[in-house]
Amino acid sequence: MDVLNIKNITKYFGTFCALNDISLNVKKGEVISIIGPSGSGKSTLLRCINRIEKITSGSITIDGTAMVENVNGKAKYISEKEVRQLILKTGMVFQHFNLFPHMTALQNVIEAPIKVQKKSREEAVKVAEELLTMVGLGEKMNNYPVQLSGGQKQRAAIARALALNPLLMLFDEPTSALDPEITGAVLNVMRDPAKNNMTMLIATHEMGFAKEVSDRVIFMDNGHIVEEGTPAEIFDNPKSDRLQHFLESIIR
Amino acid sequence: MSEFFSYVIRIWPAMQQGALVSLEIFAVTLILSLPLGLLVALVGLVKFKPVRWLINTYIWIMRGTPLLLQLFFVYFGLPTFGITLNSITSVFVAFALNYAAYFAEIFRAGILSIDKGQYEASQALGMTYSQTMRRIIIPQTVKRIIPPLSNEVITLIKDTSLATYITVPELLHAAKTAVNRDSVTTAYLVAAIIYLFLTLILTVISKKL
Repeated sequence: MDVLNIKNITKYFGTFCALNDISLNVKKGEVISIIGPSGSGKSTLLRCINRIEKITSGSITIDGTAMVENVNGKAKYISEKEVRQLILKTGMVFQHFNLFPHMTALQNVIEAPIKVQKKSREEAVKVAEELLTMVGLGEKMNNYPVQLSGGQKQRAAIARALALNPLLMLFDEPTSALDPEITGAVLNVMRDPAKNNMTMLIATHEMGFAKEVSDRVIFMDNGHIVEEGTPAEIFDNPKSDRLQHFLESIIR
Repeated sequence: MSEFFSYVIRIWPAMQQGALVSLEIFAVTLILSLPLGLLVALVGLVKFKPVRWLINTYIWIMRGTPLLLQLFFVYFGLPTFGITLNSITSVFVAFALNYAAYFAEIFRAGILSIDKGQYEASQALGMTYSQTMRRIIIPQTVKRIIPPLSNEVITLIKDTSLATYITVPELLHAAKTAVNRDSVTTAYLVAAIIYLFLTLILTVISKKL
């Protein structure tokens, strides 16, 4: 079964069309990179999937449950409570980390498992310690975000998203706010779940990484999916002018 | 000099009594206006326009007219509408409503200063709006609003003296009584020193937070 079905979604901000008739099906275990210039709609697409933004029309189905459906040409969402339950199946990693600054790395990771999933504290801490160790922060669990470097913050944020045990991980330009020399550590952390059959959608400017980990690459421009295919098709044999132009402009 | 001290000792019990009433006004006002202010701030954040308009009007009136006038309105004006309150209760009501408006503005500014990414992260983690506010937004707001809040709290100590106009026996009232009776202004000096002492304590506490 597909983990995610997106059908004909559009998203308007006022009169600006950020997403224009996007359809996408994601199979379990698939790793999909979304590339494209800034403002092409990559982030907006991810933000619509976990309902940080509400779509204008179309339908989104997560793990077989419709979150939003098209009713008379308008997007109709299931109840707020049902949406909250459903989006727990997705984990979001933000460009600017969005860690909670008044909580330690560990507290950041256990917050939602305890308060939202109602897990016991012991259980949540156990999982959090494993995850933080996995992302290389075993020694920094009790540090506050301000005591972590950018790369460490993002790895803590990845642990926080994984702690809810999501089916689908959404990465919104996870390395764009980082210095080039520390993006590697973050990408390494993303490689493990990618190889362990985690379903992932990654909006990124890291073409090398996209090429390496993706099963499929999607090129977006002006709110459209212009081209999609395997990494080889997209990077080595781009068909559309726009993709060719985009690739030329970034691989100098 | 010894005459001065013996006079101070003589009026001290009355001054102390007055200071306690001032502190009572201070404490009751804080206890009422801080939660009320938070409530006003949170309600003021809703998207429903009429509610916001109502909240903004309330804040506008409270900040746009003198506290003394509001106190007179509650004490002398409300009986016209069939609501008669004694003097100390009038002070509590007027002060709580007035300070809640100022606190609401401080809370609102504090809440709005939190990055929207914090809301997005909370939402992505499945937290409800009330969990987000209680666990994520308000704890971060508290730190940021301590300086402006301290300012208001120090102002409140001095504002308690307005109660003297409706004959509440607070510190300034006690001083005035002594001055009128004894025809020396020493009691004003004593009152000033007590106010300074109280604001000093608050300043020190606020710096520690």
